[in-house]
Amino acid sequence: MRNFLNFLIRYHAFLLFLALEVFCLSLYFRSSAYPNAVIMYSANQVAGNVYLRYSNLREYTRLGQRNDSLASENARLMALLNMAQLQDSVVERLVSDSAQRPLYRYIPVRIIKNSITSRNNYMTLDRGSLHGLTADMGLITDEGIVGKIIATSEHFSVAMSVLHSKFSSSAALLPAAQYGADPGALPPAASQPALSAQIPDVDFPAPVSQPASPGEGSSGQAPVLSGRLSWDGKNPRMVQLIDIPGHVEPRPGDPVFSSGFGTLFPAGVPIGLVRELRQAPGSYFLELNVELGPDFSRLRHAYAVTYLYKEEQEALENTIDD
Amino acid sequence: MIELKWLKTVLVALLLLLFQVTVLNQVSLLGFARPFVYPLILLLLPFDSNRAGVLVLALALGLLLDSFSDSPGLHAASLVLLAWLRPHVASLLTPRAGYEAADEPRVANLGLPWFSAYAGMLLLAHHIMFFSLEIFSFAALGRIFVHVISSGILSLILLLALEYLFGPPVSRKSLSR
Repeated sequence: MRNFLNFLIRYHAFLLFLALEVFCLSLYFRSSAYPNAVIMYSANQVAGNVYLRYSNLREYTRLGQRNDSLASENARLMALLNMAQLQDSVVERLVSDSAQRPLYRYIPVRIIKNSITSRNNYMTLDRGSLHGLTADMGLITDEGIVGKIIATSEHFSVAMSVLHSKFSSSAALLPAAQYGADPGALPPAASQPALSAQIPDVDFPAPVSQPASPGEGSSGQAPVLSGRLSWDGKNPRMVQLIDIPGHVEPRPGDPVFSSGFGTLFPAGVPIGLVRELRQAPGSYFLELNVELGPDFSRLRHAYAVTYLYKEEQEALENTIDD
Repeated sequence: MIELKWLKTVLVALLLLLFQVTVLNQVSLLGFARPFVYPLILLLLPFDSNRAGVLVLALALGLLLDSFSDSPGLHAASLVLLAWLRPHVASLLTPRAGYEAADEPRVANLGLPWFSAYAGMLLLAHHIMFFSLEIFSFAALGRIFVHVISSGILSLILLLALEYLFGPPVSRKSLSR
Protein backbone atom coordinates (compact mmCIF):
# COMPACT_ATOMS: atom_id res chain seq x y z
CA MET A 1 0.00 0.00 0.00
CA ARG A 2 2.78 2.39 0.92
CA ASN A 3 4.57 1.53 -2.29
CA PHE A 4 1.43 2.17 -4.23
CA LEU A 5 0.97 5.56 -2.58
CA ASN A 6 4.59 6.42 -3.29
CA PHE A 7 4.03 5.44 -6.89
CA LEU A 8 0.98 7.69 -7.08
CA ILE A 9 2.81 10.63 -5.59
CA ARG A 10 5.89 10.16 -7.69
CA TYR A 11 4.05 9.84 -10.98
CA HIS A 12 1.02 11.98 -10.23
CA ALA A 13 1.72 14.35 -13.13
CA PHE A 14 2.05 11.49 -15.60
CA LEU A 15 -1.09 9.77 -14.30
CA LEU A 16 -3.04 13.01 -14.44
CA PHE A 17 -1.76 13.54 -17.97
CA LEU A 18 -2.94 10.07 -19.00
CA ALA A 19 -6.35 10.59 -17.41
CA LEU A 20 -6.83 13.97 -19.11
CA GLU A 21 -5.74 12.62 -22.50
CA VAL A 22 -8.17 9.71 -22.23
CA PHE A 23 -10.89 12.20 -21.35
CA CYS A 24 -10.07 14.50 -24.30
CA LEU A 25 -9.78 11.68 -26.80
CA SER A 26 -13.03 10.06 -25.76
CA LEU A 27 -14.67 13.46 -26.04
CA TYR A 28 -13.21 13.94 -29.49
CA PHE A 29 -14.05 10.55 -30.92
CA ARG A 30 -17.47 10.35 -29.34
CA SER A 31 -18.50 13.96 -29.77
CA SER A 32 -20.96 13.01 -32.47
CA ALA A 33 -22.64 10.77 -29.89
CA TYR A 34 -23.57 13.79 -27.78
CA PRO A 35 -25.16 16.21 -30.23
CA ASN A 36 -27.15 17.76 -27.39
CA ALA A 37 -24.07 18.93 -25.53
CA VAL A 38 -24.44 22.37 -27.06
CA ILE A 39 -22.11 23.86 -24.48
CA MET A 40 -19.24 22.06 -26.19
CA TYR A 41 -19.99 23.93 -29.39
CA SER A 42 -19.88 27.57 -30.41
CA ALA A 43 -23.65 27.80 -29.93
CA ASN A 44 -23.00 28.35 -26.22
CA GLN A 45 -23.66 31.85 -24.88
CA VAL A 46 -20.03 32.94 -24.56
CA ALA A 47 -18.73 31.83 -27.94
CA GLY A 48 -21.96 32.77 -29.68
CA ASN A 49 -21.90 36.32 -28.36
CA VAL A 50 -18.21 36.80 -29.13
CA TYR A 51 -18.77 35.69 -32.72
CA LEU A 52 -21.96 37.77 -33.03
CA ARG A 53 -20.14 40.93 -31.96
CA TYR A 54 -17.15 40.24 -34.13
CA SER A 55 -19.28 39.54 -37.18
CA ASN A 56 -21.37 42.67 -36.61
CA LEU A 57 -18.11 44.59 -36.55
CA ARG A 58 -16.91 43.05 -39.77
CA GLU A 59 -20.19 43.37 -41.58
CA TYR A 60 -19.72 47.09 -42.23
CA THR A 61 -16.83 46.41 -44.54
CA ARG A 62 -18.97 44.27 -46.82
CA LEU A 63 -22.32 46.04 -46.92
CA GLY A 64 -22.07 46.97 -50.60
CA GLN A 65 -21.37 43.44 -51.67
CA ARG A 66 -24.22 42.09 -49.52
CA ASN A 67 -26.67 44.57 -50.99
CA ASP A 68 -25.69 43.54 -54.49
CA SER A 69 -26.16 39.87 -53.81
CA LEU A 70 -29.51 40.41 -52.05
CA ALA A 71 -30.70 42.65 -54.89
CA SER A 72 -29.82 40.08 -57.52
CA GLU A 73 -31.55 37.39 -55.50
CA ASN A 74 -34.65 39.60 -55.30
CA ALA A 75 -34.53 40.19 -59.05
CA ARG A 76 -34.42 36.47 -59.70
CA LEU A 77 -37.33 35.83 -57.34
CA MET A 78 -39.39 38.61 -58.90
CA ALA A 79 -38.96 36.99 -62.29
CA LEU A 80 -40.64 33.94 -60.81
CA LEU A 81 -43.76 35.81 -59.73
CA ASN A 82 -46.89 35.31 -61.77
CA MET A 83 -47.10 38.96 -62.75
CA ALA A 84 -43.70 38.76 -64.36
CA GLN A 85 -44.74 35.96 -66.65
CA LEU A 86 -46.88 35.89 -69.72
CA GLN A 87 -49.89 33.75 -68.86
CA ASP A 88 -50.84 32.11 -72.15
CA SER A 89 -51.27 28.65 -70.80
CA VAL A 90 -53.47 26.96 -68.27
CA VAL A 91 -50.59 24.93 -66.85
CA GLU A 92 -49.32 26.49 -63.66
CA ARG A 93 -45.87 26.21 -62.29
CA LEU A 94 -45.80 23.83 -59.37
CA VAL A 95 -44.22 25.51 -56.40
CA SER A 96 -46.01 23.59 -53.71
CA ASP A 97 -47.84 20.31 -53.62
CA SER A 98 -51.03 19.74 -55.58
CA ALA A 99 -53.26 21.26 -52.89
CA GLN A 100 -51.05 24.38 -52.91
CA ARG A 101 -49.92 23.84 -49.38
CA PRO A 102 -46.32 24.76 -48.61
CA LEU A 103 -43.80 21.94 -48.74
CA TYR A 104 -40.82 23.81 -47.31
CA ARG A 105 -40.42 26.60 -44.82
CA TYR A 106 -37.47 28.99 -44.94
CA ILE A 107 -36.05 30.87 -41.96
CA PRO A 108 -33.51 33.61 -42.71
CA VAL A 109 -30.35 33.35 -40.61
CA ARG A 110 -26.95 35.02 -40.48
CA ILE A 111 -23.76 33.01 -40.40
CA ILE A 112 -21.72 34.65 -37.64
CA LYS A 113 -18.81 32.21 -37.66
CA ASN A 114 -17.56 29.93 -40.36
CA SER A 115 -14.34 28.08 -41.05
CA ILE A 116 -12.97 26.46 -44.18
CA THR A 117 -9.46 25.60 -43.01
CA SER A 118 -10.18 22.50 -40.90
CA ARG A 119 -10.88 18.98 -42.06
CA ASN A 120 -14.26 19.25 -40.32
CA ASN A 121 -15.78 22.69 -40.61
CA TYR A 122 -18.71 24.16 -38.73
CA MET A 123 -20.75 27.35 -38.87
CA THR A 124 -22.43 29.27 -36.10
CA LEU A 125 -25.79 30.92 -36.80
CA ASP A 126 -27.39 33.84 -34.97
CA ARG A 127 -30.75 32.08 -34.63
CA GLY A 128 -31.68 29.24 -32.31
CA SER A 129 -34.52 27.12 -31.01
CA LEU A 130 -36.45 30.25 -29.99
CA HIS A 131 -36.70 31.16 -33.66
CA GLY A 132 -37.84 27.72 -34.76
CA LEU A 133 -34.53 26.18 -35.73
CA THR A 134 -34.01 22.51 -34.98
CA ALA A 135 -31.33 19.96 -35.71
CA ASP A 136 -31.35 18.35 -39.16
CA MET A 137 -32.58 21.39 -41.07
CA GLY A 138 -30.79 22.15 -44.32
CA LEU A 139 -28.87 25.40 -44.75
CA ILE A 140 -28.82 27.08 -48.16
CA THR A 141 -27.94 30.44 -49.66
CA ASP A 142 -29.18 31.91 -52.90
CA GLU A 143 -26.05 30.46 -54.51
CA GLY A 144 -26.31 26.90 -53.26
CA ILE A 145 -26.37 24.48 -50.39
CA VAL A 146 -23.92 25.17 -47.56
CA GLY A 147 -24.64 22.82 -44.67
CA LYS A 148 -26.91 21.17 -42.18
CA ILE A 149 -27.89 22.27 -38.67
CA ILE A 150 -26.72 19.83 -36.01
CA ALA A 151 -27.31 21.54 -32.67
CA THR A 152 -29.25 24.50 -31.35
CA SER A 153 -29.29 26.52 -28.17
CA GLU A 154 -31.87 29.20 -27.41
CA HIS A 155 -30.25 31.97 -29.45
CA PHE A 156 -27.62 30.23 -31.58
CA SER A 157 -27.20 27.17 -33.75
CA VAL A 158 -24.28 25.17 -35.06
CA ALA A 159 -24.34 23.81 -38.58
CA MET A 160 -22.08 21.21 -40.11
CA SER A 161 -20.58 22.72 -43.25
CA VAL A 162 -20.62 20.93 -46.59
CA LEU A 163 -16.85 20.98 -45.98
CA HIS A 164 -16.99 18.25 -43.30
CA SER A 165 -15.94 14.61 -43.43
CA LYS A 166 -19.35 13.47 -42.21
CA PHE A 167 -21.43 15.65 -44.51
CA SER A 168 -23.24 13.63 -47.12
CA SER A 169 -26.12 14.58 -49.31
CA SER A 170 -27.80 13.31 -52.41
CA ALA A 171 -27.03 15.40 -55.48
CA ALA A 172 -28.24 15.28 -59.05
CA LEU A 173 -26.28 15.86 -62.19
CA LEU A 174 -27.94 17.53 -65.12
CA PRO A 175 -25.93 16.84 -68.28
CA ALA A 176 -25.94 19.89 -70.52
CA ALA A 177 -27.80 18.10 -73.25
CA GLN A 178 -30.85 17.89 -71.02
CA TYR A 179 -31.47 21.55 -70.51
CA GLY A 180 -30.52 22.44 -74.02
CA ALA A 181 -27.29 24.35 -73.48
CA ASP A 182 -24.34 23.89 -75.76
CA PRO A 183 -21.63 22.48 -73.52
CA GLY A 184 -18.91 23.88 -75.74
CA ALA A 185 -20.23 27.37 -75.16
CA LEU A 186 -19.23 27.38 -71.51
CA PRO A 187 -15.96 29.27 -71.23
CA PRO A 188 -13.14 27.96 -69.00
CA ALA A 189 -13.20 28.62 -65.29
CA ALA A 190 -10.47 31.23 -65.22
CA SER A 191 -12.39 33.83 -67.19
CA GLN A 192 -15.53 33.59 -65.08
CA PRO A 193 -16.53 36.45 -62.80
CA ALA A 194 -18.79 34.48 -60.47
CA LEU A 195 -19.51 30.81 -60.55
CA SER A 196 -23.03 31.18 -59.22
CA ALA A 197 -23.96 33.29 -62.23
CA GLN A 198 -23.05 30.40 -64.51
CA ILE A 199 -25.38 27.88 -62.93
CA PRO A 200 -28.35 28.08 -65.24
CA ASP A 201 -31.88 28.73 -64.05
CA VAL A 202 -33.48 25.53 -65.17
CA ASP A 203 -36.86 24.03 -64.58
CA PHE A 204 -35.44 21.26 -62.51
CA PRO A 205 -37.21 18.00 -63.26
CA ALA A 206 -38.41 17.13 -59.78
CA PRO A 207 -37.77 13.44 -59.28
CA VAL A 208 -41.00 12.81 -57.43
CA SER A 209 -43.38 15.33 -58.92
CA GLN A 210 -45.32 13.34 -61.48
CA PRO A 211 -45.08 9.95 -63.11
CA ALA A 212 -43.67 10.31 -66.61
CA SER A 213 -46.37 9.83 -69.19
CA PRO A 214 -45.51 7.73 -72.25
CA GLY A 215 -45.39 10.88 -74.38
CA GLU A 216 -42.76 12.49 -72.21
CA GLY A 217 -40.61 9.40 -72.14
CA SER A 218 -40.12 9.50 -75.86
CA SER A 219 -39.17 13.17 -75.90
CA GLY A 220 -35.68 12.34 -74.69
CA GLN A 221 -36.10 13.51 -71.09
CA ALA A 222 -33.68 11.14 -69.40
CA PRO A 223 -34.04 10.59 -65.66
CA VAL A 224 -31.95 12.78 -63.42
CA LEU A 225 -28.67 11.13 -62.47
CA SER A 226 -28.15 11.24 -58.79
CA GLY A 227 -25.04 10.52 -56.77
CA ARG A 228 -23.66 11.21 -53.34
CA LEU A 229 -21.90 14.40 -52.40
CA SER A 230 -18.97 14.40 -49.97
CA TRP A 231 -15.75 16.31 -49.34
CA ASP A 232 -12.24 14.83 -49.36
CA GLY A 233 -10.78 17.67 -47.27
CA LYS A 234 -8.28 18.88 -49.84
CA ASN A 235 -9.66 21.96 -51.54
CA PRO A 236 -12.40 24.07 -49.90
CA ARG A 237 -13.72 25.04 -53.35
CA MET A 238 -14.16 21.47 -54.64
CA VAL A 239 -16.45 18.75 -53.39
CA GLN A 240 -16.74 15.23 -54.80
CA LEU A 241 -19.78 13.69 -56.39
CA ILE A 242 -19.52 9.91 -56.35
CA ASP A 243 -21.63 6.95 -57.46
CA ILE A 244 -22.51 8.48 -60.82
CA PRO A 245 -23.00 5.54 -63.18
CA GLY A 246 -20.30 5.18 -65.81
CA HIS A 247 -22.61 4.97 -68.82
CA VAL A 248 -23.35 8.69 -68.79
CA GLU A 249 -20.89 11.20 -70.08
CA PRO A 250 -20.95 14.30 -67.94
CA ARG A 251 -18.73 17.11 -69.12
CA PRO A 252 -16.96 19.90 -67.30
CA GLY A 253 -19.46 22.72 -66.94
CA ASP A 254 -22.49 20.55 -66.27
CA PRO A 255 -24.52 21.90 -63.34
CA VAL A 256 -25.13 19.91 -60.18
CA PHE A 257 -28.25 20.40 -58.07
CA SER A 258 -29.69 18.92 -54.91
CA SER A 259 -31.78 15.95 -55.92
CA GLY A 260 -34.63 16.30 -53.44
CA PHE A 261 -34.06 12.75 -52.23
CA GLY A 262 -33.87 12.67 -48.49
CA THR A 263 -35.42 15.40 -46.41
CA LEU A 264 -32.59 17.91 -46.12
CA PHE A 265 -32.88 20.11 -49.22
CA PRO A 266 -35.61 20.79 -51.76
CA ALA A 267 -34.95 19.51 -55.25
CA GLY A 268 -33.14 21.86 -57.61
CA VAL A 269 -31.10 23.97 -55.20
CA PRO A 270 -27.81 24.66 -57.00
CA ILE A 271 -24.61 23.08 -55.73
CA GLY A 272 -22.00 23.89 -58.35
CA LEU A 273 -20.47 22.97 -61.68
CA VAL A 274 -18.60 19.83 -62.70
CA ARG A 275 -14.90 20.56 -63.17
CA GLU A 276 -13.12 17.21 -63.51
CA LEU A 277 -14.19 13.62 -63.81
CA ARG A 278 -12.34 10.38 -63.38
CA GLN A 279 -13.19 6.73 -63.25
CA ALA A 280 -11.66 4.68 -60.48
CA PRO A 281 -9.80 1.73 -62.01
CA GLY A 282 -11.95 -1.36 -62.01
CA SER A 283 -15.05 0.56 -61.01
CA TYR A 284 -18.18 1.21 -63.00
CA PHE A 285 -18.88 4.48 -61.22
CA LEU A 286 -17.48 7.92 -61.91
CA GLU A 287 -16.13 10.37 -59.38
CA LEU A 288 -16.59 14.03 -60.23
CA ASN A 289 -14.95 17.12 -58.82
CA VAL A 290 -17.63 19.78 -58.40
CA GLU A 291 -16.73 23.41 -57.88
CA LEU A 292 -19.08 24.83 -55.24
CA GLY A 293 -21.36 27.70 -56.25
CA PRO A 294 -21.15 29.72 -53.00
CA ASP A 295 -17.81 31.19 -52.00
CA PHE A 296 -17.51 29.55 -48.58
CA SER A 297 -15.02 32.14 -47.37
CA ARG A 298 -17.66 34.88 -47.67
CA LEU A 299 -20.86 33.24 -46.47
CA ARG A 300 -23.12 35.62 -44.64
CA HIS A 301 -26.87 35.37 -45.20
CA ALA A 302 -28.49 31.98 -45.45
CA TYR A 303 -31.81 30.23 -45.07
CA ALA A 304 -32.56 27.31 -42.79
CA VAL A 305 -34.97 25.15 -44.74
CA THR A 306 -37.25 22.60 -43.23
CA TYR A 307 -39.32 20.01 -45.06
CA LEU A 308 -42.81 20.07 -43.56
CA TYR A 309 -43.58 16.44 -44.35
CA LYS A 310 -40.26 15.23 -43.01
CA GLU A 311 -41.61 13.29 -40.03
CA GLU A 312 -44.20 11.51 -42.10
CA GLN A 313 -41.68 10.55 -44.78
CA GLU A 314 -39.08 9.38 -42.29
CA ALA A 315 -41.62 7.40 -40.28
CA LEU A 316 -42.66 5.63 -43.45
CA GLU A 317 -39.06 4.95 -44.47
CA ASN A 318 -38.22 3.64 -41.01
CA THR A 319 -40.97 1.05 -41.17
CA ILE A 320 -39.13 -0.41 -44.15
CA ASP A 321 -35.63 -0.23 -42.76
CA ASP A 322 -36.41 -2.30 -39.70
CA MET B 1 2.85 43.04 -7.18
CA ILE B 2 2.34 39.33 -7.64
CA GLU B 3 -1.39 39.81 -8.12
CA LEU B 4 -0.79 42.45 -10.76
CA LYS B 5 1.38 40.00 -12.64
CA TRP B 6 -1.35 37.35 -12.59
CA LEU B 7 -3.85 39.88 -13.87
CA LYS B 8 -1.50 40.68 -16.74
CA THR B 9 -1.06 36.98 -17.57
CA VAL B 10 -4.81 36.44 -17.66
CA LEU B 11 -5.35 39.51 -19.86
CA VAL B 12 -2.63 38.41 -22.27
CA ALA B 13 -4.15 34.92 -22.40
CA LEU B 14 -7.61 36.33 -23.21
CA LEU B 15 -6.18 38.54 -25.96
CA LEU B 16 -4.30 35.60 -27.49
CA LEU B 17 -7.44 33.44 -27.41
CA LEU B 18 -9.55 36.17 -29.05
CA PHE B 19 -6.87 36.72 -31.70
CA GLN B 20 -6.78 32.98 -32.36
CA VAL B 21 -10.53 32.37 -32.72
CA THR B 22 -11.49 35.52 -34.62
CA VAL B 23 -8.51 35.98 -36.93
CA LEU B 24 -6.03 33.12 -37.02
CA ASN B 25 -8.62 30.33 -37.26
CA GLN B 26 -9.59 31.77 -40.65
CA VAL B 27 -6.03 31.73 -41.96
CA SER B 28 -4.65 28.94 -44.08
CA LEU B 29 -1.56 29.87 -46.10
CA LEU B 30 -1.24 27.90 -49.35
CA GLY B 31 -4.09 25.75 -48.12
CA PHE B 32 -2.22 23.95 -45.37
CA ALA B 33 -0.17 26.24 -43.10
CA ARG B 34 -2.35 27.20 -40.14
CA PRO B 35 -1.00 29.49 -37.41
CA PHE B 36 -1.44 28.76 -33.69
CA VAL B 37 -0.55 31.36 -31.05
CA TYR B 38 -2.40 30.10 -28.00
CA PRO B 39 0.37 27.59 -27.01
CA LEU B 40 2.35 30.70 -26.03
CA ILE B 41 0.15 31.01 -22.91
CA LEU B 42 1.53 27.71 -21.60
CA LEU B 43 5.04 28.12 -23.01
CA LEU B 44 5.66 31.29 -20.99
CA LEU B 45 4.56 29.96 -17.59
CA PRO B 46 7.35 30.01 -14.96
CA PHE B 47 9.55 26.90 -14.73
CA ASP B 48 8.52 26.16 -11.15
CA SER B 49 4.77 26.06 -11.94
CA ASN B 50 2.90 23.15 -10.43
CA ARG B 51 2.83 20.37 -13.03
CA ALA B 52 -0.66 19.16 -12.22
CA GLY B 53 -1.88 22.74 -12.22
CA VAL B 54 -0.46 23.37 -15.69
CA LEU B 55 -2.13 20.20 -16.97
CA VAL B 56 -5.51 21.28 -15.65
CA LEU B 57 -5.00 24.78 -17.06
CA ALA B 58 -4.18 23.21 -20.44
CA LEU B 59 -7.37 21.19 -20.32
CA ALA B 60 -9.46 24.26 -19.49
CA LEU B 61 -7.86 26.39 -22.22
CA GLY B 62 -8.22 23.57 -24.73
CA LEU B 63 -11.89 23.01 -23.99
CA LEU B 64 -12.54 26.75 -24.23
CA LEU B 65 -10.89 26.85 -27.66
CA ASP B 66 -12.76 23.71 -28.68
CA SER B 67 -16.10 25.27 -27.85
CA PHE B 68 -15.15 28.18 -30.12
CA SER B 69 -14.03 25.98 -32.99
CA ASP B 70 -16.65 23.22 -32.65
CA SER B 71 -14.11 20.44 -32.15
CA PRO B 72 -14.74 19.00 -28.66
CA GLY B 73 -11.50 17.53 -27.31
CA LEU B 74 -9.21 18.32 -30.24
CA HIS B 75 -7.40 21.42 -28.98
CA ALA B 76 -7.64 20.10 -25.43
CA ALA B 77 -5.84 16.83 -26.24
CA SER B 78 -3.05 18.69 -28.09
CA LEU B 79 -2.59 21.29 -25.33
CA VAL B 80 -2.53 18.68 -22.55
CA LEU B 81 0.24 16.85 -24.40
CA LEU B 82 2.17 20.10 -24.72
CA ALA B 83 1.68 20.85 -21.03
CA TRP B 84 2.97 17.42 -20.02
CA LEU B 85 6.01 17.60 -22.30
CA ARG B 86 6.94 21.13 -21.22
CA PRO B 87 9.06 20.29 -18.13
CA HIS B 88 10.68 17.37 -19.97
CA VAL B 89 11.72 19.54 -22.90
CA ALA B 90 12.97 22.17 -20.47
CA SER B 91 15.18 19.65 -18.65
CA LEU B 92 16.39 18.27 -21.98
CA LEU B 93 17.51 21.75 -23.00
CA THR B 94 19.09 22.73 -19.65
CA PRO B 95 21.80 25.30 -20.40
CA ARG B 96 25.28 24.84 -18.90
CA ALA B 97 24.54 27.43 -16.25
CA GLY B 98 21.26 25.79 -15.33
CA TYR B 99 18.03 27.68 -14.95
CA GLU B 100 19.13 29.60 -11.87
CA ALA B 101 19.27 32.96 -13.59
CA ALA B 102 15.89 32.55 -15.22
CA ASP B 103 12.54 31.80 -13.70
CA GLU B 104 10.56 32.20 -16.92
CA PRO B 105 11.23 30.79 -20.39
CA ARG B 106 11.79 34.01 -22.31
CA VAL B 107 14.04 35.05 -25.17
CA ALA B 108 15.36 37.82 -22.91
CA ASN B 109 16.36 35.30 -20.22
CA LEU B 110 17.73 32.39 -22.18
CA GLY B 111 18.49 33.62 -25.67
CA LEU B 112 16.99 33.11 -29.08
CA PRO B 113 18.51 29.68 -29.90
CA TRP B 114 17.30 28.19 -26.63
CA PHE B 115 13.81 29.67 -26.95
CA SER B 116 13.47 28.57 -30.59
CA ALA B 117 14.41 24.99 -29.71
CA TYR B 118 12.09 24.97 -26.70
CA ALA B 119 9.09 26.46 -28.54
CA GLY B 120 9.85 24.54 -31.74
CA MET B 121 9.89 21.12 -30.09
CA LEU B 122 6.73 21.74 -28.11
CA LEU B 123 4.89 23.23 -31.10
CA LEU B 124 5.93 20.21 -33.15
CA ALA B 125 4.45 17.82 -30.58
CA HIS B 126 1.28 19.91 -30.36
CA HIS B 127 0.87 20.06 -34.15
CA ILE B 128 1.53 16.35 -34.65
CA MET B 129 -1.18 15.54 -32.13
CA PHE B 130 -3.57 18.16 -33.53
CA PHE B 131 -3.34 17.28 -37.22
CA SER B 132 -3.19 13.50 -36.69
CA LEU B 133 -6.42 13.70 -34.73
CA GLU B 134 -8.07 16.14 -37.09
CA ILE B 135 -7.28 14.34 -40.32
CA PHE B 136 -7.16 10.91 -38.67
CA SER B 137 -6.29 8.71 -41.60
CA PHE B 138 -3.20 6.61 -42.25
CA ALA B 139 -3.76 7.14 -45.94
CA ALA B 140 -3.10 10.83 -45.41
CA LEU B 141 0.23 10.58 -43.55
CA GLY B 142 1.88 12.74 -46.20
CA ARG B 143 -0.77 15.40 -45.84
CA ILE B 144 -0.48 15.34 -42.05
CA PHE B 145 3.29 15.79 -42.39
CA VAL B 146 2.91 18.79 -44.72
CA HIS B 147 0.36 20.37 -42.37
CA VAL B 148 2.57 19.81 -39.30
CA ILE B 149 5.77 21.19 -40.82
CA SER B 150 4.26 24.22 -42.58
CA SER B 151 2.04 25.16 -39.65
CA GLY B 152 4.91 24.60 -37.21
CA ILE B 153 7.16 27.03 -39.05
CA LEU B 154 4.38 29.61 -39.33
CA SER B 155 3.44 29.30 -35.65
CA LEU B 156 7.06 29.54 -34.51
CA ILE B 157 7.65 32.70 -36.54
CA LEU B 158 4.48 34.18 -35.10
CA LEU B 159 5.43 33.29 -31.50
CA LEU B 160 8.93 34.74 -31.89
CA ALA B 161 7.48 37.92 -33.39
CA LEU B 162 5.05 38.28 -30.48
CA GLU B 163 7.83 37.61 -27.97
CA TYR B 164 10.07 40.29 -29.53
CA LEU B 165 7.22 42.81 -29.87
CA PHE B 166 5.56 42.42 -26.50
CA GLY B 167 7.95 40.37 -24.35
CA PRO B 168 10.59 41.81 -22.04
CA PRO B 169 13.26 43.76 -23.96
CA VAL B 170 16.01 41.58 -25.38
CA SER B 171 19.53 42.84 -24.73
CA ARG B 172 22.49 42.09 -26.97
CA LYS B 173 24.11 40.12 -24.19
CA SER B 174 21.22 37.70 -23.82
CA LEU B 175 21.15 37.05 -27.55
CA SER B 176 24.70 35.71 -27.64
CA ARG B 177 24.17 33.45 -24.67
